Amino acid sequence: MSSANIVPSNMGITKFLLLTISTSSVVAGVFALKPFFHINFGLHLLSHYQYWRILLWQFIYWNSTEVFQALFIIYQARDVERLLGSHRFASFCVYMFILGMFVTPIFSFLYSLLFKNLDYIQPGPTFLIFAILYQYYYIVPSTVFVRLFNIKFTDKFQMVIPMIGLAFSHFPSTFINAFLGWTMGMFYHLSLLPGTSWRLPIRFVKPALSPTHVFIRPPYSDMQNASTFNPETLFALPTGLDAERTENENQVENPVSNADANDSPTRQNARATAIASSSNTAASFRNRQQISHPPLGRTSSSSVLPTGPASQLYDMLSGRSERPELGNIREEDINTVQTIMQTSRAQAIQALSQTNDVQRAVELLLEQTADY
Amino acid sequence: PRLPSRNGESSEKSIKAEKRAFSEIKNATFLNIPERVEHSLTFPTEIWETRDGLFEEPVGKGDSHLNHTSVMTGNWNILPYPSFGKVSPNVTWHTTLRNIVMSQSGRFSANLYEYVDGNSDGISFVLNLENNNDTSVYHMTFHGDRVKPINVFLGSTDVTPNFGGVDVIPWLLKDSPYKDAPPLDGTEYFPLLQNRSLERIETRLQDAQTVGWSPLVFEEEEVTCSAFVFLHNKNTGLDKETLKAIENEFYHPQGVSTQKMPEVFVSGLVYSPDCNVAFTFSNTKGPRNFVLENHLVRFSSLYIFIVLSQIFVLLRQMRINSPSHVQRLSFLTIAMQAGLDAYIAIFFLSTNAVIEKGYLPFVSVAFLSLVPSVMFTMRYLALILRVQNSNMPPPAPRPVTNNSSNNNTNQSNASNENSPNAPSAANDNTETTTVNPPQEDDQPMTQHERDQRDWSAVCLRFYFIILVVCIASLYSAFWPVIYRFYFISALIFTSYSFWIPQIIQNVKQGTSRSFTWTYILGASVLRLYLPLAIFIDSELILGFPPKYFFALGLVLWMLFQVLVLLVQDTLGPRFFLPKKFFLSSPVYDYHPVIQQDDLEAFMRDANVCPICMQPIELVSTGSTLNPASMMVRRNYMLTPCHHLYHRQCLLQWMETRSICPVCRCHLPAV
Repeated sequence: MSSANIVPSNMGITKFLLLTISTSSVVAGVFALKPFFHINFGLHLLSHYQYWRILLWQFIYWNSTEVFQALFIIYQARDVERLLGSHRFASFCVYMFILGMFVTPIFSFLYSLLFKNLDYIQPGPTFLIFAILYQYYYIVPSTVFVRLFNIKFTDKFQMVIPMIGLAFSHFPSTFINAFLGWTMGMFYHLSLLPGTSWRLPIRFVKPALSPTHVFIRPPYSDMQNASTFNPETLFALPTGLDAERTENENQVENPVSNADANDSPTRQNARATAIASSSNTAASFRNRQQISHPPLGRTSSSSVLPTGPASQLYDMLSGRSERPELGNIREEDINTVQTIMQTSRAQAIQALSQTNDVQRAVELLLEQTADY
Repeated sequence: PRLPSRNGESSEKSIKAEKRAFSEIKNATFLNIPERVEHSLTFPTEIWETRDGLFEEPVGKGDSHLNHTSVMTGNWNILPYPSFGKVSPNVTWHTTLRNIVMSQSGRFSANLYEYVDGNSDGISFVLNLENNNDTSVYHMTFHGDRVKPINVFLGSTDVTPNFGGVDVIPWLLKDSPYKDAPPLDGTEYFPLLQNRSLERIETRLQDAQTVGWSPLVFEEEEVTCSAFVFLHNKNTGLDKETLKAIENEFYHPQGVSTQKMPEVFVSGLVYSPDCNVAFTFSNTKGPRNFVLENHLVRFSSLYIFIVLSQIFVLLRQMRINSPSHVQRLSFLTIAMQAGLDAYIAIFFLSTNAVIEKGYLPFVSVAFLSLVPSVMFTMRYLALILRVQNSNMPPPAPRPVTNNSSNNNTNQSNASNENSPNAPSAANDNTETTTVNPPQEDDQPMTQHERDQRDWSAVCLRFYFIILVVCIASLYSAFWPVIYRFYFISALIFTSYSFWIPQIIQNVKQGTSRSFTWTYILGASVLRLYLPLAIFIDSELILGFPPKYFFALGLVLWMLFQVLVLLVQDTLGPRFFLPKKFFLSSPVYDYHPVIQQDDLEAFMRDANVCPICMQPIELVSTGSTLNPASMMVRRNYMLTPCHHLYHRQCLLQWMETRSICPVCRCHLPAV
């Protein structure tokens, strides 16, 4: 499915982080670039003068486990971006990235002078992730509380395991990295660091902020719901949900024939049921009044995704672009074709089932009449 | 017999023989040679002289490689001496080897393996000897030791009852009986080599105890020439620390820059006492194994980008899926490319099984080639098949007779094949039609059933061909180089003729516009990467030297196909064939000569394109045959229903539907 549905539209920076970390790690793995990212002070900096490693070391993770844990944390902490705002969050990330670039190597170098167990700095943006985690723990309120053996667990507890995994994957170096990230995140939060009010120039953030169009349902069903909207239904209690659902599934089997029976009480698609699940009476209330339209068993991607490259790719992968007849026929389209061409309903359905497009169906009918 | 019965007698005999050999070697000294060994050490004068010359060659500066494991290719020459080839009558020659040696010289490829272990390393030397026209190949395997301080490798084929084999190695540094000053002192290295010989005998002894078989007692069924090999390697010019750092960087990469690893240089002498032949090779070079592997990894990393661009170009092409466009595409063109992709995927997967490093790039290439082959291309093929099937008229109604159903089938097939309106279907589907007996005689097959039947037949053939080609390629690894090369070139030139079916399809259908130009050019250029690499840069893997003319020939062949497609687009699909071939299926000419005066036959303002509402330039009065008027004529199109359009405007519309935008008449394909 499109990422637009997984990451809501106002989380462009989170999406960017997710994509960058996973892509760069995979690319580095496939092209055998991994050895260019860690820092071994004696070998790389003192004898080979590879100071560019300081710029690069945070870009990739070596292990898929680390990548997974990092992605999990960033995704779960996506509300940080929502609360800070994309612009401020982006500035925070850049600030922390640049800070970590220098702070961790310096501290690790001092550590390696004192203790002998640090051989090299493990690459990866653990510093940045722990800085985000601090914001998550202290800005985002918990939503779920569970009391277990007199200990209160919140939904933030899920982050502990990936946190431990990231901090201890290569003990001294990743732990120093994580610890410093957490600390610097705290300093940033408390404004103890210089330049915390600094912001990225807005032009860098703009692509991430561009408005995206997310159509969860096809537009016509929105209009329909709006026209039959009844405020009373918002407060009705859910009853008999399961019975309704099974009826709906039966409906899904045979879209076209059911479209005929206008008075069927369960003319509702599965998605609409899910939306109305909080108030079942609302669904049945709406059902009675509804103008007929077929249930959307297998919707065409145009109703799920915004038009664009994503939906084209989706259509291509699913084979729908070549066989549009796999999608369902809308009752509105049948009516349109019937009105335009003055044909029988059966003819209109047949033409639509071959093309699933009003324009092409009309052309097809025209060609057929020309042949006769 | 190779494997005798495992009774106590034979195993006792073997163990006894091995134990005797062990004590023989153990009690011997450099000057006190056991009889069995001495028997194998009676070399002609020339061999001793050549050996001494080999050992006296200058070794160059620096240290020698820490490990000589490498792949090398070179040329060998026979070493003539008076008794060359004269053997006792009880020696059986291997015919292939005899043919090769009698051809005086030739090419060879060799793999040298070194097992690093203390002062003296074990080696294996696998020699693939070819005759002077590369038509036969003979494999010889030597085992032995490297004597590090003097840059010498000594090896031998296996022990037989009549031949000392690897047990002779400690005495191969023996002073020449015909010369006063030996190049090096054999006594110094004798204890080392003696110990290694004893180790080998111990291993054989263990085998004799478990299997009951010893090469000292039982002979191989097929008698071949046993031989010794003397190798002498050059130094690298680098010191030990640098060489060690380079190897470390490969096996434990740290991302630090190192020097380039020098190649392995080896000269050698092979002498077979029982067949009484000898040949030499000098300054044969080859890269270290990991240098070669790094090279392969770089090659496949670049190939990842190539495959990605191929997928991108293919997806661009697949976006255009209107039936009127798909109708004109050749099924075989796509199918050949799909087969090629599937084959490349299998090729890279199997290469991946042999190499030590670079798993990920190889698997990525295999995966990325498989994705278009099994997903996108296959679906496009299904689409083409369906569209071209649906444009074929339904089979003619069968005559109601009381004949057998078999007769019926033939008739309907004949009508199907001969129907003039089904040129595209006749291309690929005739065979399918004959293969399938009709199950339901009463009802004709529906469109869907026909699609399914054809599709399953296509898939079956597709995978069968790939299977056959893969098995043949596996076998080709053991063929002589020249046959392997011809096989590979035939494979490449056949599979890279994939535009030919499209050209034929254009001629048959009378259409000139097929794939988009992005796709034609993109696929042609991107697909050239792999065959060019095979022709130019695969000497160490496939064994043949760079073939620049074949590479150039392939490029020109692709260029030719693309040019034909281009000219078909501009001059018409049948420009290179005389008109009389196509009297039965004439092509409608969209570009007749229309002069300004002719327009009065139509109506006022007839030279305005109904699509873009811009005026159309017509041929000015005067000569209609000059080249300028040719170009003008290409810019407009006149439909059979006498409507005039701009070429670009009408072509754009005809990508969607083949009807006239003004009067909805059917338009013939372009």
